[in-house]
Amino acid sequence: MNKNKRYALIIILVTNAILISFLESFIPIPIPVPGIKLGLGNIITMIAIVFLSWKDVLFIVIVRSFVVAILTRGVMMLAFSLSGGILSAIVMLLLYKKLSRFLSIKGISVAGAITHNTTQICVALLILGQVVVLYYLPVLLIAAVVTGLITGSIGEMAINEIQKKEVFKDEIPPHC
Amino acid sequence: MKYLPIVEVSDMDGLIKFILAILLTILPFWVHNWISIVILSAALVIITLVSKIKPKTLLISAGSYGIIVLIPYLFGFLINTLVYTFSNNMMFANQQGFYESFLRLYRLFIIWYVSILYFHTTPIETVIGMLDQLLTPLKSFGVPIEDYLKVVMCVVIELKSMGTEVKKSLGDSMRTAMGEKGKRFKINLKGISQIIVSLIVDSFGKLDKIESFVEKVNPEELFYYSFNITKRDGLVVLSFMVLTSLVWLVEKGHWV
Repeated sequence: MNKNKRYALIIILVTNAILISFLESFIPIPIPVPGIKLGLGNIITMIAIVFLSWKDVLFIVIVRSFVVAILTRGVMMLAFSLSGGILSAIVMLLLYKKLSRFLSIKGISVAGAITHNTTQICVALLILGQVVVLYYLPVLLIAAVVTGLITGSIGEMAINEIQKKEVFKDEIPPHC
Repeated sequence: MKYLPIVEVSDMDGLIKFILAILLTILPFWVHNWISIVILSAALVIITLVSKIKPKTLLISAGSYGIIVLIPYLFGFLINTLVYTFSNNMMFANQQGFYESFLRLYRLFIIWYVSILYFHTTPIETVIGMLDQLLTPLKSFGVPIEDYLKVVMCVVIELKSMGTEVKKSLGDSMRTAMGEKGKRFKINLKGISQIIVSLIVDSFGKLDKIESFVEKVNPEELFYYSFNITKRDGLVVLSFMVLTSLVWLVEKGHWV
């Protein structure tokens, strides 16, 4: 695949990730805890993990965090979304490449959500310099299991559908 | 993908505004007196009014700050206070004091707020153009910075070109997928996954169009920055100096 086609593919996936995040407001979260988000945009990260190279996955995560920070959240939130996004993508990538025989997409998604929330609370700890923020970690971890399962279930269905429709057939062959 | 609106004329030079924004985020780390905090807050209110930023935009951004920073902090603070009250264990005592904790949160708030003000009053073409020049040293190491920034700009253009219509139709599809109350969540998940898949499949129809756009467009058409100082910049720099002097006078005890 040539460079420009690769970039076009990434542009489409990042745009979709941002659009999908918008859909979150329509889905009731089973555990209504303040600060908990479903993280539907991560479905695109999961799709990228299955169908694209690790470089593209990280590029998608970085561009998405950067665009969202510039357009809506501001530069301070970039630290949270970038660190959480990159680390969770790396964890999900490693689990998919090495342990996909034992772990389903749902399991990988839960691991990604746990990594994301833990990283965010660690960044908050660093920025605030207050250990008390760690009290929120158990709440976030329980929430990560629930939200990870939901996004993982949707992601799994989406990946199966994409495989059926052979959307990426002409672009890049799936790694597994 | 629509052809580009080229670079908009900014009311202030992007670099000068950037430097002032950095200085404004550093300033609160130097203040301890509550009067300085009042002066600084008043200055921010004036900047917000002059910049004519929509309150809705600020509220949306404030949501992220509240969710990621405030909620974990306040939750932790509450638990800590409760544990200390019931156990009297000094390990759980608030070591920092309320005013210091408030100051820290205030400083973080200023970093967040100033960055929001900066990004919402500076054309994205200018921000990316400055970033392109700032990251020039990396280009000599073979990092395709221009290509990466081109991708960022294309995502922004794609999002803008979709407009509210796509959002509305997606919202309608979601409402249909979620269905009536009492429906099983599993069914809804399938509906959501179908919406996402059709979104991806539909967007792949534009792949060739986007590819040819990325191929043909020059970076200069997407982002551009050149240093251009005006009287307005001078006035803003002067106002900032007055603000800094006021804060300095208060902090040194010369004024109040």
